Amino acid sequence: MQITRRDFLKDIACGAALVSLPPWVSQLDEPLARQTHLPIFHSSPWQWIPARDLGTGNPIITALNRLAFGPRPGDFERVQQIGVDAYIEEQLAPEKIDDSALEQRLATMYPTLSKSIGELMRDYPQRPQVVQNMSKAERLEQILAGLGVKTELTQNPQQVVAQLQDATMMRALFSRRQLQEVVVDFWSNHFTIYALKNDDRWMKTVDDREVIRKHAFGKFGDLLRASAQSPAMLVYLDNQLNVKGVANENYAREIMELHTLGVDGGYTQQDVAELARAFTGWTVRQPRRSGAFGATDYSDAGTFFFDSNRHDNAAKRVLGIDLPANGGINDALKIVDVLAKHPSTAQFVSKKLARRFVSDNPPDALVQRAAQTFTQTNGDIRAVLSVILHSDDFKNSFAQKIKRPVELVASAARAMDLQADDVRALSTTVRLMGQGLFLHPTPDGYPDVGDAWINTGALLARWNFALALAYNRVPRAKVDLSKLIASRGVSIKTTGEVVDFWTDVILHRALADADRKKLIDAFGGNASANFDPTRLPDPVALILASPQFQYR
Amino acid sequence: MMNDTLSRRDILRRAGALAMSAIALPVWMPRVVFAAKNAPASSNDMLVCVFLRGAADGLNLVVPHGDKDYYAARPTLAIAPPKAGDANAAIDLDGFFGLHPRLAPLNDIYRAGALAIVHAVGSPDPTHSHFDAMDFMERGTPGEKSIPTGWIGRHLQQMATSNASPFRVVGMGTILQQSLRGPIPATALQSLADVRLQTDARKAPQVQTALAALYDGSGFIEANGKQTLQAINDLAKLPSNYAPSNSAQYPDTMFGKSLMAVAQLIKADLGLEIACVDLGGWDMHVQEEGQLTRLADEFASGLAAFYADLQDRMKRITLVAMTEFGRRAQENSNRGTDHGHGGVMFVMGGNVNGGKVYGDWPTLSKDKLYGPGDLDNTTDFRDVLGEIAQKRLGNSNLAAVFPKYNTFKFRGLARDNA
Repeated sequence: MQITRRDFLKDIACGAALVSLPPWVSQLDEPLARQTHLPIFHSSPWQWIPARDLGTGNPIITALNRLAFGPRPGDFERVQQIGVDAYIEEQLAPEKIDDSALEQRLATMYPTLSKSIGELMRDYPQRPQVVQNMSKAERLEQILAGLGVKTELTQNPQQVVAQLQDATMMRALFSRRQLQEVVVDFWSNHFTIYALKNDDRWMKTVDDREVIRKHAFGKFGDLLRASAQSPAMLVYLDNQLNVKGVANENYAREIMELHTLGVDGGYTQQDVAELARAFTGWTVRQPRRSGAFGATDYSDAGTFFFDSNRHDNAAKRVLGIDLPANGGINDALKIVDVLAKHPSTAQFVSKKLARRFVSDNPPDALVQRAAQTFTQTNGDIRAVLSVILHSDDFKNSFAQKIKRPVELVASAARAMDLQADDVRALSTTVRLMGQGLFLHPTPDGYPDVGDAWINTGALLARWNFALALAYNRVPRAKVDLSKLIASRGVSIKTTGEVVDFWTDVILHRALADADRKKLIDAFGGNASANFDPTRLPDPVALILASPQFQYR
Repeated sequence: MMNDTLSRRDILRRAGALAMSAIALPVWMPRVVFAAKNAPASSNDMLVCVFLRGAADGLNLVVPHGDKDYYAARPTLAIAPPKAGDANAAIDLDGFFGLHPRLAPLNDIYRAGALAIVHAVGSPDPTHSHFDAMDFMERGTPGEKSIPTGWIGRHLQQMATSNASPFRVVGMGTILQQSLRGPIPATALQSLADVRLQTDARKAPQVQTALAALYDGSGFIEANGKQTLQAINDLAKLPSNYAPSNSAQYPDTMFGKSLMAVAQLIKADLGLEIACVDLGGWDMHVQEEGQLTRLADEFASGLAAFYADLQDRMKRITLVAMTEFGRRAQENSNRGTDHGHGGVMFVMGGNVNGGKVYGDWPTLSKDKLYGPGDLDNTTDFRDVLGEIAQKRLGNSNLAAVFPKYNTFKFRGLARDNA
């Protein structure tokens, strides 16, 4: 993978142009450079995380924190009514949940979401390309008409990325298909793509729609094949440049190490080299200029194609499978299929899913059952999810996971019933907390273990976000505490009532006596004294900032 | 506003602090720490660990211009042998090796004897996976995944100290480096300027007191919360503007800013013992030349600025730069290089036996290449880190830092901290 300095600079430019930083985040001007410096967190976690005794909790809270980005007001009561298993079944069938209102809203707000790569390249060009790409006639027309190129100039590729980020944040906050959004996030990290690498600015949006979302609950083999032929992935892991001669091993290695078998899944360096040869000739169509003065033709730009002239036609042997000479595109297709069905893949993917939904160190028996289902159903993702989510391990895993920045920000916003038509501030917040959407630079995706995300700097950012949210300081969004109180139809006057009310709204459970006392003490120490109404946001901020809220 | 959930220890600390000091302390400060108390007890070095993530191309950073096979393997990417007046040629170090031309700022430090280079160095594990290789190197346990702590975490565990500063061990970035994993909580910092609660100044003390109570527990999250509060207090005392000494100019990048923040922490005597800084982007499978030029420039100018800025303190500082592995000897068809094996390390400091390229050169001749065609390793990275830990950091228990490794061969690149 290559991330150039130019990439940084472009993102910085993007930051300057699009992002008005929320006041509570660090005013750093080089966010992406920092992103590329992320250390690697391997899958096996440092075991101290769940040390705090949070009690046994309640499977309803666990379900709403894992299948969803936390409960919105009313969610807890609803799941209490229909039961956790019914909720799981409902969320496992997102196609049956009507989310059309949100989708219509998103389509209006983010016109890039439905476009093809060619259309995005054409409509959101790099600044210097705007003029460059016009035909002579067009340029003349512009001049003659005395028209500026204002519309085009306000549209740039960074906006394509920003719209995808914001749409993803909107869906996390407002979609009724919450599990779908969680699973999409999972696959977006499993098949991670750094959206600011070269043409991925335009391509990741289409990968999100046509690869990740299309197959998120489908067959793993279909998802893997779609990803292998996704222009965004071909660009991200350099496979589009992989030609006979000395093959480029980047994608061949990562598809085995990170997408399917896992690093200990039983492949060798020789397999990497041979698979890289099998992938030679897989590439992406570029926009075409028709003649020296013609306009650029974007009609099939950014589509996958197999260039047989660049394919290494000699025989190959990958994972013990002979690929005879002249296999063409079928060389790699065959191996992609083998990888999708490989027992190591069943293990690797099942374990990652169990880690996402159950705990940083998921129980081996559960992983084995999930892997068996993976194999028996030919990689049916929905079936594997069903095994994991309906397990006792899941129901008993209260507080075994720590919220990552996206989960922290989204769950706080959902708990507070934040209303927003513009979530750029939240997209920026998670980026500065180290989890920018589609911005993980390396191909391993964001770590899914708690200790990667809890440290001194991280907690400060979380506290400051809690303060901003409680004090209604999120730009272009609104939190209305009085309305939340009114909606529950209760009257809260004393310090004890206020603390208990917000504890219930935010955590949906009572605190241990000692922890409750800490909050009472923060407001004078007398639970039955009248609460100072000017301090209303403070208990909200403190509960959102508390250790308890960091768990999911 | 007093708080009745403070632990006995906190009360004792607070009483002690108030008694011994005329400084006006806000009463809500949860744990008051003084620089003097926090300074490392001994005269051991501070260590700065720079990780070049993505597998830096050691062969083009420290060019074996005396090895003819280098030029055969790199028809388009090779750096030309040293030649007077040629700004694109390697800068000769010892007649055999030369620096990438954009590492020129390191040449002065090398000539001054404060920079040692180790070549053909790395991990004995054959992995070509970035993630496994980084993991192994940061844990200090090649091929071994069952030990969850990092080598620095274990080192700190060995060092009996009363240093309770939140800045004892610092990782620059949003996520802590794996090497820091261990029982001593480390602090992740992005910048020193923004370490404060963003709320009404009058409310901040109340909020801080309440947070101190909420995070008064022994769990992992609580421990980090307490440390966060302490960091807020400590950094509130630092001047907001930092002017590097000796006109040092850090690159205006995250790497440069991180090194500058480390320098600032060192000068503030806040108890820093170890800092980790990352420089990513070295995975250059395609069009390597321009990218390497830019990153080499950033790396060298960052180190040179740090060296200039801390000149009079360098006697007590060691900086080591490493990468997870090197890159394939033979360039690929995209003017890039694929994952390799043997790499390069840089060791900078006032007590480094610098001005020398250490290691045995295995050569790039075909029969000496490792695996798919990589430079071999002749020095284990633990030999370098172990020598630094023992001689400069005063750690006499290397067996605990690098378990299962007992064949240390020190190259003699650091002086004993007598």
